[in-house]
Amino acid sequence: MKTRPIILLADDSPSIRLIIRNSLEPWIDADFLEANDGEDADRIIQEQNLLGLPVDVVVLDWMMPKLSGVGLLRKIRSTEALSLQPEVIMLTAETYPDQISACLKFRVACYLTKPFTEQDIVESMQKILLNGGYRDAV
Amino acid sequence: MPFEVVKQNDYLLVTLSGDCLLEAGVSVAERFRAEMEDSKLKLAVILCSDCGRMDKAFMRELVSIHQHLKSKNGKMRLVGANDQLLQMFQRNGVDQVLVNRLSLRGALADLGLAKAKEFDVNFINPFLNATVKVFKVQCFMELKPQKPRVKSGDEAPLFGDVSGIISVNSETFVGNLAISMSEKTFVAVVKKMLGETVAGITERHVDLVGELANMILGQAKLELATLGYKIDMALPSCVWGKDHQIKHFGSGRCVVLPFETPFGIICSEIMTQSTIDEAKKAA
Repeated sequence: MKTRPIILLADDSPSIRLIIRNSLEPWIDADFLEANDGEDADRIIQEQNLLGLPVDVVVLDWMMPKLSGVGLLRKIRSTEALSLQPEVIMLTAETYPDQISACLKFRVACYLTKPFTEQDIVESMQKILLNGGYRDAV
Repeated sequence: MPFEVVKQNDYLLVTLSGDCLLEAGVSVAERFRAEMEDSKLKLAVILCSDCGRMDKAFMRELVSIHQHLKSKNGKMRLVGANDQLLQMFQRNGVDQVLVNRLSLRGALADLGLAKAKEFDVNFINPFLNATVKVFKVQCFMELKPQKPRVKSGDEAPLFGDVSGIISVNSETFVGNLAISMSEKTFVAVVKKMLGETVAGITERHVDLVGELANMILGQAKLELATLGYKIDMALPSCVWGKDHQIKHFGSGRCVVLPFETPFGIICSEIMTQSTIDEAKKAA
């Protein structure tokens, strides 16, 4: 039984993962997991589900090796158990409006473009966690 | 009306919007022919990026426009058709007739109205603005742009101790964006972005420079889209080592954008390696 939200940071750049973590940790009481590519993120999401400790929110990059962020979204949203959960914040350098629209079809809670501020990521995460019932975490 | 025909210098631009259905289809072909006779222009671009649905009758009208142009030794290209439209063209066997390009620049190059090979000076501002924005938002650093310059053939390759490189691919050319800085500047960037103090370039942190290149391209391509360029995203890479040099191969040109910071100079280089046709041949 978990009491804190689980947040997965999926980005092939360790530095970007560190920036996101540094931004969120002072504000969000959560357990953080990290993935270096789309396949790694997919594996972690599935394993956490099997453990009964599902990932609540994924902060997802678009351009990643092995499996892209959109490829991962397509995969998890076509899986019954993952069609609604986890919530996803896209955090990517992809800025074309048509690409953003295509991505939002996969039930993305929030789309942020890089460069991003601490306020961008913290406010988006707080909103999602409050909607998910994690009042104590924010 | 879901369309508009506007005469440009060398071609007719037909802009489609909303749902393109039968009645409008009849009039767009009529209107186009009238404009064509009036202007004597034989080239056309059909802008489809704001077109939602299209019925078969409207599609046949576009084919009719194509045939009319062809009979006059003219040519046309579509731009920005969505997947639904492209599948419809394919199902009806007209995808070789209604040829689509991702960008206006790509279409104009096909029509012989845009030069694919030369470096477009309009590239400079989007990359300059993007570099300043990315460093301001992500690194809390104010960059002072210096005078951009075109690199001459005998000029030394890109200087620097660490560089991030990313492909800049469009329909009309392939190239690269490289951002390069000294060790001293890198140490300052790491401190600003990650809050970590490092003594020099560390393998654990070099991906930062590739990410900065990625962000700059992401921001620049939005502005480039307004100039008719559609750029694909790619994965960045990094190289590092004291005073390493980056040599660009290919027939294109290279523009250097230097920026002054309190911690040293940061350089962005944009180079068009070759035209897309040359790249295809090489592949």
